[in-house]
Amino acid sequence: MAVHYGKRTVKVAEPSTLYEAWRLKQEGGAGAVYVAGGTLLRTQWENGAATAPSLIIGLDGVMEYRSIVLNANKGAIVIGALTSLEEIRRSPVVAAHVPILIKAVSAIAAPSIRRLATLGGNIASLSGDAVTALLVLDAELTLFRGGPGLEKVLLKDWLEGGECVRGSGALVLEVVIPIVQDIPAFSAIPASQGADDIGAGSDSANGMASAVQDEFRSFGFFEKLGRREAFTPSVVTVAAMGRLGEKGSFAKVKMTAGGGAALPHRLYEAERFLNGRRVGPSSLAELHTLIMEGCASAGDLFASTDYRKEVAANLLTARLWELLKG
Amino acid sequence: MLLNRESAGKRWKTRPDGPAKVTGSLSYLTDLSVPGMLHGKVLRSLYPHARIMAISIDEALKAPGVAAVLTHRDVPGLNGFGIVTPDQPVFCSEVVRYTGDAIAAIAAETVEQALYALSLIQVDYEPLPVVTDPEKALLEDAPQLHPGGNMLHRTDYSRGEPEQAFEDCAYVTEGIYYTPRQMHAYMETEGGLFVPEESGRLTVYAATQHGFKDRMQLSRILAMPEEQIRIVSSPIGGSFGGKDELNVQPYGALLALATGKPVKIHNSRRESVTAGLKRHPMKLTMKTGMDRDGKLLAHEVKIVADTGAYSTLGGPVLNFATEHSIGPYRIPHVSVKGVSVFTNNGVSGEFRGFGGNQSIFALESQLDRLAAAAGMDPWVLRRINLRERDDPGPLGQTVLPSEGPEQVWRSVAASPIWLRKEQMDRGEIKTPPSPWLKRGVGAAMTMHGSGLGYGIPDPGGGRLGLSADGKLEAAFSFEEFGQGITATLEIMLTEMLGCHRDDLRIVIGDTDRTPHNGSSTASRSTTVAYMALKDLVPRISEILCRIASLAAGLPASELQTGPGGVWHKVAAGGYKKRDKKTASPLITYAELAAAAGEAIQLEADFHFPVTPDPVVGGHYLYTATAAAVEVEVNLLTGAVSVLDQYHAVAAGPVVNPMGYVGQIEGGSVMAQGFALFEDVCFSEGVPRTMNFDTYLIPGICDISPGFHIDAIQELPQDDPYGPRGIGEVGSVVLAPAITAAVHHAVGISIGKLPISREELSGILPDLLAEKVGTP
Repeated sequence: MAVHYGKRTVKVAEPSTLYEAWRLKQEGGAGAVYVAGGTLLRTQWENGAATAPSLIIGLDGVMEYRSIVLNANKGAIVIGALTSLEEIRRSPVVAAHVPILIKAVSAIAAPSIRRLATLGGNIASLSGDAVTALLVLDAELTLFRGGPGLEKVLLKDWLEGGECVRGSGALVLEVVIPIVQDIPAFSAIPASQGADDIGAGSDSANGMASAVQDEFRSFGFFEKLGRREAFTPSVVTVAAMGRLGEKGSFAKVKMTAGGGAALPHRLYEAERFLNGRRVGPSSLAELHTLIMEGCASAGDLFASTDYRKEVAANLLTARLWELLKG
Repeated sequence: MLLNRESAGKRWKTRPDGPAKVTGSLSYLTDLSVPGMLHGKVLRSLYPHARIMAISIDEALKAPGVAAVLTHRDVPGLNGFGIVTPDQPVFCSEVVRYTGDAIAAIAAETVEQALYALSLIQVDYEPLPVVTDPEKALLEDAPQLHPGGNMLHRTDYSRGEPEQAFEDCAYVTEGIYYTPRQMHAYMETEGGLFVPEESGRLTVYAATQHGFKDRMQLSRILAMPEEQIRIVSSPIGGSFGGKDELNVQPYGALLALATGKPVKIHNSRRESVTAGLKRHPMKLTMKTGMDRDGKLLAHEVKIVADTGAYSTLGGPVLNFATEHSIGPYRIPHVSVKGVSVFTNNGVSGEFRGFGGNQSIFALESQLDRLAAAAGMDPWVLRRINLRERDDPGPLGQTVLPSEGPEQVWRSVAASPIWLRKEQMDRGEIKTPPSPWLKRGVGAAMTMHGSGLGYGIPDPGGGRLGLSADGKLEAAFSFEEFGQGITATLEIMLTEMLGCHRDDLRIVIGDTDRTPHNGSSTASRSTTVAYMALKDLVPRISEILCRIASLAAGLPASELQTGPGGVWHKVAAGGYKKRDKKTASPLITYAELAAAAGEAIQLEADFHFPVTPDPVVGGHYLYTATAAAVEVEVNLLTGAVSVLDQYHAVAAGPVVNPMGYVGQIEGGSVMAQGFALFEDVCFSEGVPRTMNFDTYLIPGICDISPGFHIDAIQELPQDDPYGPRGIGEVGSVVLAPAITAAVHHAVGISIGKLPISREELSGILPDLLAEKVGTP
């Protein structure tokens, strides 16, 4: 089969196994491109943002990586890379255990595109909106590099490691998302993390008195700002997960920012600042500054770098403020 | 009357083209195919401004499947087009002035072959300095884009002595306003089918808003008599002014004649964005002053319009902007100076609102700023200065007496949204729970001219008759591009003739089958149709009743037209029914046609109502409109959401309630895009937003949940012109209403559209510190 891209004629291969796909890529070199849903690549080729390939290696035939499995033993959800964003959006398993991933994929593109686009493709693009959510979820990737075994790498390391970790031709097969259980915080906070920051408590918001031990509850959220309400590329995405004590102290917080062409990334300084701290108005301001400093945004025709940083900091701080307000 | 499905009742009619459009079965002209047809593609310039050193088509001619490769050497007639001044080359020979300029066209057996052959054409360019800033383009040392220089058109209107009058003003405000290069964003891109007939004639199936004008322009290019060309121009998948000028027609026609075969051309979205028209970006500088009591005294306007590479209707657009920068207000001292300037930024041209959108945004913003400076209610300020029924028009010309401006002013003043503003101001409305969400209400108004204006031929008319096969046949040279003219004609005809929709045959968009009654532009079609039918319906009724009278042996005075044919009327009106169940006309339309022996055709012919005063471009008929909106500004992001909107429209009787609501809703969505999102970004003369993944228009989730239309139907007694056009007024006042609402919400005056979120967003901790206590 062949398709046309502008003046180019592009061959399409439809391998049915992983090894065949791998072999085609090795033979085809840079001109051969793995394509899952093809929704993003197609626009890149049409817009000239990427050179149209000489060979499309269609991955639709590699069906075993199109599933969502709850692995209770490992305490993880395993999502095949060829699972469509729409399948994830409708998955009761994902909804029950990682609702922020539902929020993230629901905000991507439009229904017709979500039915084609895959989670693997979103990750392979590096700047996909789902990546911002997966990063705070501590997702791990299963990779295939042609060898007999499969490789495991944390999404964080895969993104941060650059080309030397990602290499060329590696196929993302699975995304493994650990499930976080609600655990009382006194056992969850390492002693080293500013326990003395947590002052003696007043009554909690819901009226349940807790005199000595702080009750922690976990939280997680994902926010996207697009250029319009729906079916829009992101300008800014942010996500956070962590625990908040009834007396206003944070623990185990992870925060990420992304959006546009920026690679989603963790906001380590802001996380360190927050963890183990009771947060008041002045520390919110400090946190805001740290987020802006930690944000690596890429400005374009539609939104400047500074604006993106400011919005990322605003969205994160606002949601934390709401959490504190209860 | 609040116009909606409920209030319209039985008059809420499914539009005749509705089911086919909703199901996708409707065939547009770009859906047409015929066996053996070729596919055309156009080579457009690589540079926004360059000299062409050489063009070589030899390789392209040898490419597989290629039937013809045409360049400037192959234009038999005038190598140029343009409704007013044909200064856009069909094919460039020496210079290219924008990246949409055509250099060659190819017909091949497949689209792919045509594209491949295009890549084989060699063009040697010598890039020239690019003119991107219209103000700099007017400087002496600027590169000159046309033999006559860089100025397309100038306007200069003044009355009184504004400079002196400013000295008497208690309040003066000066503002600079910028508006964006909006794209029409029709669903169907430009294209069509071009068929050389055996008779030697050429049939063009391609969208336009003025078939007879296309015929004239193609006749000039092809050096072919107009009668040898037939333009079929309807139905159209959206136009909004964007298909008013020629686009692919010259290439399709030339390729079809060169090859002797039917040729299809259909622009890709990228080709459409590159080559197509856009709304004129304008810079409006205004100085406006009033006395202590809020009476406007002086108003000074300077308009600079970026008209792009070629003329098309850039001149008339500037005329319209000039006229509408004064508004429905009494201002004794006025000076407006406008200039429309050639640049290499694409081509600006006709677009719903026609230059009014830009001026009205600036003028209404000025009034809000004056009100704020004086601590006055902005709506009261407008009332103090509102024109009266018999006042002259904005340019001092005689206009039809109108109470429209006052009617729409009162409607908005009493609207629930405006009352909510007053409650907000008194602190009676709960603010949103999040301290970064701010709500505000704003309103704006105007009177918008319809028709082409003084000095421009604006023929009206139409044809009505009984065809040989017994159909009541109405023919107009209008096009259906979604605005609902077919539904409007159907409703007018069924209501005036009392007939059934199945008795009708409506013929539009075909120069062989319709009389020339002008363009489907300038909010003119509804008025033209009404004026024509008011003349034609009594005449055809009389003829039909006379024939029926002879056949039935009853006096013609006792007969009238009705469903299916001519009926016997009773004194009280209605039909004398011998038996309710078998009630039928005395004589059917088919029987009448047989009795007549030949088709009956009556024509009406008139000029669109025009002011008697020689003020070029000045209008005589206006539609008044006002809108109030409630917005929410999210200070975390600067995003503006429109929560509720209310439109008052004084356009005379509502002919087609569903179409009316559709036009105001659709126009308002377009205006929301103009205010909040849309701008075709150019850098160094090259468009950067090439598709709808970067050029974003409002989607359904952006539209306000509340949408209310007050259709004011009362006209002054003896008004002869009936329903006014409403195709544009939905799109002209929403933007200034939104910016006024944003100002009300957060206290920031907006001078540039689309609204920059970066201008509105704040730093959260600052917001919290200022506005709320600790969490």
